[in-house]
Amino acid sequence: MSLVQIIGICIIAAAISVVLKEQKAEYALMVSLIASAAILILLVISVADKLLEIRNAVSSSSASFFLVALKALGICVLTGFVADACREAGQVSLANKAELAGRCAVFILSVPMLISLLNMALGFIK
Amino acid sequence: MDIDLIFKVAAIGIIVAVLNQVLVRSGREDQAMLMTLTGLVVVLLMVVGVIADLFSTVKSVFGL
Repeated sequence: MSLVQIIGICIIAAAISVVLKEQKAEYALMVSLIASAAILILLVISVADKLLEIRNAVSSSSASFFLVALKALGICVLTGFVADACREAGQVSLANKAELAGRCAVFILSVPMLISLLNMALGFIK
Repeated sequence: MDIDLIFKVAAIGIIVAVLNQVLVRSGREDQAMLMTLTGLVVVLLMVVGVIADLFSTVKSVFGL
C-alpha cells in the first residue's frame, strides 16, 4: 500500500466530510470514521509480514519482553484510533477516558516485567 | 477494498439529506425523522463492520 494511495484516501475523505458537515454532521463523522479505519487496516496489513518475522525470531529466544512491547504497540494503535474518533465527534472527555483505558491496559501488561526487574535488582543488593 | 465504502456512506448521507428536505417540505416531518434514523442505522452497521475488521487485523498481527 503506497503512501500516495493513503494520502489520496485522506484528502477524498476530508473533502466528503466537509461537504456533508453542514447538512448532516453525523454522516461526516461516519465518513471520517470509515476512512481512518480503512487507512489503519491498510497500514497494519502492510506492516504485518515484517512484524510476524520479528515475532517468530524473538519468540524462539528468551527475549519475551519484546512480545510484550509488541502487544503494547497494538494497544496504543487501537487506543489512538478510538481517542481520535471521539475527538473528531467533539467528545474530548470520552477521548481522554479511552486513552486512560489504554494506559491501564499497557500497565497491566507490563506488571510481570516490573516484578522480574525488581527481583533482579534485589538479587544484586543482597 | 474499503475505499468504495467511503463513497457509499457519502452517497447515503447526501440522499438522506435531500429526502429529508423533500419530506419536510411536503409536511411529513415524522416520516423524515424516521427516514433519517434508518439511514443512520444502515451507515452505523457498515462502520461497525469496518471497525470489526480493524480490531481483528490488529489482534492477529500484534498477538493481542
